[in-house]
Formats: sequence, C-alpha cells, structure tokens
Amino acid sequence: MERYRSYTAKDFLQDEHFIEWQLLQDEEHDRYWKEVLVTYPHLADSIAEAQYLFRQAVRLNDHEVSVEEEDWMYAQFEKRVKRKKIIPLYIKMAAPIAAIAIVVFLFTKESTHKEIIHEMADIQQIELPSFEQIDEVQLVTKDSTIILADNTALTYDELTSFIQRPHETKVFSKLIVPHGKRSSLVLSDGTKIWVNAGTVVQFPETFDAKGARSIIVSGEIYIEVKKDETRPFRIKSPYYEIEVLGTKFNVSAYPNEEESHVVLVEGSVQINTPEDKVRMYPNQLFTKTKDRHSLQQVDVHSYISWKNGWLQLDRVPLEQLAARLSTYYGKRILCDERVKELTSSGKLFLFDDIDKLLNTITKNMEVTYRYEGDVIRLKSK
Amino acid sequence: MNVILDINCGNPIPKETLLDKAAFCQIYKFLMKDMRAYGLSLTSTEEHVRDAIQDVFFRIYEKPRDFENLKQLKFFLLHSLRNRIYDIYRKDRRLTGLDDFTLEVTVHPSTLENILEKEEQRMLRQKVARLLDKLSGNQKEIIYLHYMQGMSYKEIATMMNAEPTAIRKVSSRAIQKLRKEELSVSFLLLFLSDILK
Repeated sequence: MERYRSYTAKDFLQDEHFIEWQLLQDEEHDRYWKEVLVTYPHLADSIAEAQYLFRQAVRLNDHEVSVEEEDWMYAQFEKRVKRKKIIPLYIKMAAPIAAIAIVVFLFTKESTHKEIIHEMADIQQIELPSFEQIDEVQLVTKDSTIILADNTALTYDELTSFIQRPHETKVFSKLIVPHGKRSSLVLSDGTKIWVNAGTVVQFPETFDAKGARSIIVSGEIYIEVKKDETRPFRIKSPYYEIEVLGTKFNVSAYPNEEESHVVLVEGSVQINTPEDKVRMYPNQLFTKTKDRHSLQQVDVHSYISWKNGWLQLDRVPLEQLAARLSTYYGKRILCDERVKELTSSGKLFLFDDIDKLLNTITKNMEVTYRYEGDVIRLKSK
Repeated sequence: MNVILDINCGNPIPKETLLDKAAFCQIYKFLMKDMRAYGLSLTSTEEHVRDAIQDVFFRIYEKPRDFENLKQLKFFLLHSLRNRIYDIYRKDRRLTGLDDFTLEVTVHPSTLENILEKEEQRMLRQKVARLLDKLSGNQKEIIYLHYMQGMSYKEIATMMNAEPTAIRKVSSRAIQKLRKEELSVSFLLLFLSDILK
C-alpha cells in the first residue's frame, strides 16, 4: 500500500491491482481500496479521476451498432409482429370455446426455457414446441425430425418407415401440427387420430402388448380408438385421465384455455378427475373448468367437423366463433360489441390462409374485418 | 414524450408504456445494442443473435408486464436472451456447440489521450487482456455482465443458474488467481533484482 502514497491518476491506470478492482468491483477489492483512501485521503481525487477514465476507456466486447442497423432491426421486428402468429399460450380467451371434443389440459404454466421430459409411464406433461417457430407439420422421433406435408394422413406402415426401432415400446415420437394446419395418423394398434392446428401428440412407437395404451395430447384431436378389451386406452393429463375401451371421440385440450372438453361420438368413456369419476355416453359433452365440471347432451357433429376441414355451425354467436378461430389460427380475433351476437349457421371452410377465411365470413355476414397491429377486429359493415 | 429520459431516472415502467408503440420503439432501440453485444459474446453467429433478440422482444411485446425500472427491464431482457440463445443451440442438434465466452478488450483512445501516451494506452489494454485471459469462460462472462452490463452479482447468479455465493466465490477466486500471479511476478522481480544487485 505504501507505494500508492505519491500516485497520480495516470499511475493508478497502470497499476494492476487497481485494474483488477475496476474490472471486478466486488466487496473484497472495495474494502481494500477504502482502506487505501483512509490511509491516504489526499489520493481521493486521483483515484476518482482514474476510475472515471478507466470506465470510459476500457471496454469489453464493445460492438458498435450503426443507426442504420438499429432501424433495420426494428423494422424487421415490426414486420414480424404483423406477420407472425401469436402463440396462444399467452392469450386468455374471454368466451369459452364451445366446440371440439375432448380437451385435455396439459399445461397451464408458461413454459419458457424449462423443458420437462419424463418416461412415458410417468409423463404428466409434454414438451411444448414454440409454435411461432414452426410452420410445418413435424414428426419428431427419437432420432430425427421429419417435415410432413399439410393434411398428411400417416398410415402405420408409413410411420414405421420413419422410425428406426419400431418394436421398442418405451420410445416415443411426437407429431407437431402448427397453426393453420391439420394432420392425421394411425397408431400401432390401428387407432386413428385426426390432429388439429396448434397441437402436439406424443405417442409410443409401439404400444405394449399388455397393459394400457397411453398417449399425451396438447391441443385438439379427434380419435377413433380401436377396441381392445385387454388394453385400455388412456389419454393422460394433470387434471384428468380419459380411459377408453373402444370409442370415437374428440378431445380439445388447449393449454391456454380455461375449459377443457370431451365430446363422445360412440362407445363409452370414463373420465378420472382428482375429485371424481365421470362416465360418459354417446352424444354427451363433458366440460371441465378449474372448479367444476358438467355433462350435457349435444349434437356431436358440430364439434368434430373440423377434421374434415370445415366447421359445422349451428347458430353459433360470432364471439364464440371468433374465439374458436383464434385458437385454430393462433391470431387474436376480437369482436366489436355490435357484432358479437350475430349468429351463423352452415359450413365454414377452414382455409390455411386466414384472410380467405375472413373473406368468407365477411361475404356472408354483416361484418367486416380489419387488422389492428396483430389483432384482427371484426366490426359491423 | 421522451420515454427514455423518464426511464433513466429509475422510474417504473408500467406495462402501459410497453403497449405504447413509440415508447416500445425507443426501448427497443435503446436496449437492443446491449443485447447484441452480449449475444455476440455468447455466440459468433450473427443470425442466431438477431433471431434471439427478436424472440425476446416479441415476448414482452406480446405479453407486456410491469417493470420496476430500466435496470430491471434490461436484466429481464439479458436473462431471456441468454436462455433463448441456449435454447436455439439445444433444440437444433445440427448446430455446433456454443463458443466459450470470449472477451475482447478495447481501449478508447480519445478518453485517455490527455493522460496516457499511445504506448501507455497499449500497455493498459495488454494488462487488462492478460489479466482476463487467465479466466475460464464462465468467469469471463461474470466479469462482462458485471463490468459492461452493470448487472449485480445477484442478478448474474440468477442468469447463470448459480448461487450468488458461488458467483462471488468465482470472482474472488479470479482475484486470488490474479493476485497470486501478481505476487509471483513481484517475488520474481524481487528475486531478480536481488540477483542483479
């Protein structure tokens, strides 16, 4: 410490101990240099000057950004805001979505960088992809990711051609269907699954010869389960588990929605919630929210027509329709007060291009639409 | 309204500010530079850094929330950026691994020209570079975040998924390492000077 007595600012700038202190700025150094100041109070000015100069002059990884680059980056950001579909994870729907069969809730928390992967037997959660990154239908096997054409119907043979080890039962694959697309596949037992937009289905490449057949779904599927009395079919979720012997039903489980639904077309289904066991019969709609659940008789066809590429509407209020479309397309669609209650009936084709769909609506209803930022607003003509 | 001026005073940033397009634009341009610098320290692939930056801003654009002040917002963005860049590399197995954190030292001549000669400025840069060279990638990242980005050691611990005490230990380990080097050098000099007498 002695040597500091007659130091100038310039000397400090060349002193390695001082340099250390400036770079680290931690307690140990602070204490030491406080002592120096106490011992030699006349050094206060030179130390202050040296500190100031050091901070101004010495830079680490100093990357310059030109104004042009700044503007360009922001312009790109704006473009993306206009173009990109919003991940529904962050949207809270005001009106519940009425249609669509079984909705299996898998996630309510935002999953950012934490990915949770468990063995299938214990899986209660599924690793959700970032839907804003994905434009194509993807089949993710243990070894690779395969991009599939839209509306591909994968037979089991085709599936096994993608899978290197078709006979391992603990190996899982995922089908990821992004917004605006649809897909379908056949599982090893002959069960057929139609997969709607914004959905991930995780399934084992082969079902066990004995025991339950289990899959995990986040999003919406229509499933025709091949009857097998020796192997119950299970769709798992943290909230309930759907157990099925051989039936046709629709599952709608979007993580951003507060309600989940099951619509049973044919056969019988048991739903096991933490509180309750509910038995369902054909043409019934089971709805579950956080606290309660209900069972009602419905016309199932309006809930499953999506698998054919259209919505069958029966006097559906526009607000509800907008909410449903928001989920399918991953874009916020809002209604003005004046048009909320307008109902529509008939077939509404679910075009890949949302503008085509919106044009259909505006042609047939007293409604027009407008983009406000990345939100689509439906207003009266 | 010049939002940046307000923010610099350590004022809170309610989510309404983020919903205001002009304000968001200012914030974006203001903080993008720091994010870019940090991103390029983590990986040299510009494209990944740009994508990650856009992803992170997109997230707060979509889901704005309240921030205590600019510093907290910056911490949030840098933290998210780090995670996003790691995610990008983790998800795409085709990409080669992330580079070890590197530090490039520069000394701005204009600030020092009145006090240090060119040669002395060069020596300063060399000393800093030499001191930092001895550190591991993680230690370098810690020092970068603290010195250049103004993150507290507690915030750095959160960002790098470590206990704050561990981070402090690292930095003091860095000091000790540095000091040991210095000591050994000075001992050597003393020894040499004795011999030379």
